[in-house]
Amino acid sequence: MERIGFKDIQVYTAAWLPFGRSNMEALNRFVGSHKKYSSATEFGIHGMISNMEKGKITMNAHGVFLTPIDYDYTGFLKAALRVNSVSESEFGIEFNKSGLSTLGIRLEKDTIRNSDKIKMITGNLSYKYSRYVLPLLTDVQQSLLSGIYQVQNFTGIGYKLHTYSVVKCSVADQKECTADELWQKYSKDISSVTDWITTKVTIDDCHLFIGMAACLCIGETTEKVDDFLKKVLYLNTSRITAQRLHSLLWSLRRRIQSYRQNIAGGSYKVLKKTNEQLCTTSNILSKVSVFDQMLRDETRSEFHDFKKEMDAIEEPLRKEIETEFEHEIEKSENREITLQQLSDEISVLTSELENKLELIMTKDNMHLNLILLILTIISILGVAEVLDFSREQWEVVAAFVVPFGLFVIYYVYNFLRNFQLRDSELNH
Amino acid sequence: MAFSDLDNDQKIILYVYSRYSSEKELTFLQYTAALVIFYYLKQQGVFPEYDEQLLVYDYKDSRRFLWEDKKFMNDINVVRDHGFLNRARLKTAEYRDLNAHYCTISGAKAISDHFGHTVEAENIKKLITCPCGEVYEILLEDEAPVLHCTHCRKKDVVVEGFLRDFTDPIPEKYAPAFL
Repeated sequence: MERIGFKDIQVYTAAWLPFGRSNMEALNRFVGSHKKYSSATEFGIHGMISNMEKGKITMNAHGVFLTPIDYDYTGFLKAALRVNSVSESEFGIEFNKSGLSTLGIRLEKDTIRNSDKIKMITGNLSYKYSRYVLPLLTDVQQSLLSGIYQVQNFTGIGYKLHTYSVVKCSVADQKECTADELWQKYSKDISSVTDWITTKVTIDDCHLFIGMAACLCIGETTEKVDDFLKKVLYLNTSRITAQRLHSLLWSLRRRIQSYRQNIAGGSYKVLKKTNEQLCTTSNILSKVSVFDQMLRDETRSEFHDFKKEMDAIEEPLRKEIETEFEHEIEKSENREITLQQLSDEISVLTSELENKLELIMTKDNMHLNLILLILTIISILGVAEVLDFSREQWEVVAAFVVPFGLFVIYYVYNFLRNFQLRDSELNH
Repeated sequence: MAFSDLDNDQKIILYVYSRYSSEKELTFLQYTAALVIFYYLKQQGVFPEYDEQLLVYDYKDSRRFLWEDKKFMNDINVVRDHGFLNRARLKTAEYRDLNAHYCTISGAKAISDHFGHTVEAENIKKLITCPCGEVYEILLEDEAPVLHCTHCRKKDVVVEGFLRDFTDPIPEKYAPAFL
């Protein structure tokens, strides 16, 4: 099989982040997009100011340098990103209110013959994405992401982030071949970049190989192709984010099952621990719920835009993309039901747990009271015996002890009726 | 772009930043505090070209009318464009993000090579340094900002006139108006 020679390479790595117009506006304000500074500003510096009275401030670590290029306050931001003040290389970064957020580079090297190298670059960009892009987000977005990726804070996301890539390039014989012919010749190289291919198509002389991990676009792109690639990126980033959400729901379901077992047979200590875990899970569930709602709303809006703006895309590709959008929306509706179910289960378990904890506390208190009562009677009788009481003195002691004894019997009866018998009835 | 391209005001700005911040040590000077120290220097006659211009800006967690001359703002951006000063946005625990700047490594080098040993730098240094030799800390206190020495017990230097007080009635005559 022939080896492909990739030329004019551009690599884009994208993830779906919870944006919407409010967060987009917050980012544009934060970056100061309207200020048109000719120098970059440093963002995402690690650390926090606790005393605003002091003019001189020390922080923990440097962030990245952004120069806004174009923006719409609530719509999008395009900026050049440098990782330090002296670096000459810049990344292109683009945030969109739909949640599609892309980090892109154009390689200066003429030709790359090793497709694994391209794959490495997409992996490298994905990691850079977690490192440089996530610190730019608002606290609300970071908190949502840390909930979804199950990390204490967003800096722990690192390799966990789910990304999708688009690789644009040209090859020597792109004009003479169809997408199928290119696939026949270079399938090994193409699939090493994209993983499993799901769609092969040619639009405006550009051959697109849409795979599970990336989309390879061979040829010079027109505006129509670029717009289509953005839709492909949106669909795939939202798809992998939805998969992540679904896996998280599975694991939450398993956790809830284990809480149920703990509540059924756990000691006081186990129940207290389970209570803490239930709170944590409930917190994650509320984050997942917000995240999922945002993903669903934006996917609906993107689908609407696709139907309105992408009429230049021909059948059957158009139908295929529309079906994918419909499936994503349907999946998100399924997730909504699962989320509701999990949330209800947590509410039930929380009240069950509270009841059980209260029961244990009451039972323990009554147990203690009973022991004290019995010990008091034994002490009185013991003292009377040691002091060698006369018959009259014993009668006085008996006058005290008999009603006390009757009260103990009554208490024992109540204790057995409320706890021992009730427990066995419940077990039965 | 070379250090010699900067005008005198811009060189002084960079010098003051080099005393309060450092890229290496990750120390920043928040912009409000920078306005305080440069306003103080203006009061001492260091920047004769700067005017009394007002800016509505963050002062700790409040919005206040305070001093910012537009030439000063432009000077800061010129120094930034030379790569001697970087602008940064810093997170706070209780309020929104703050603007801050720091002197870059190349800025610190330019100051030490071309300006730090001049008579002018010495004069500026005297103004921002306590007689005990410690550079004043800039504290944004509620009533007015102060220059404070953390080393000795000398009385704080209050930077009067930096914050505009609007608690007095409007001095002009006026009548009700409706749109």
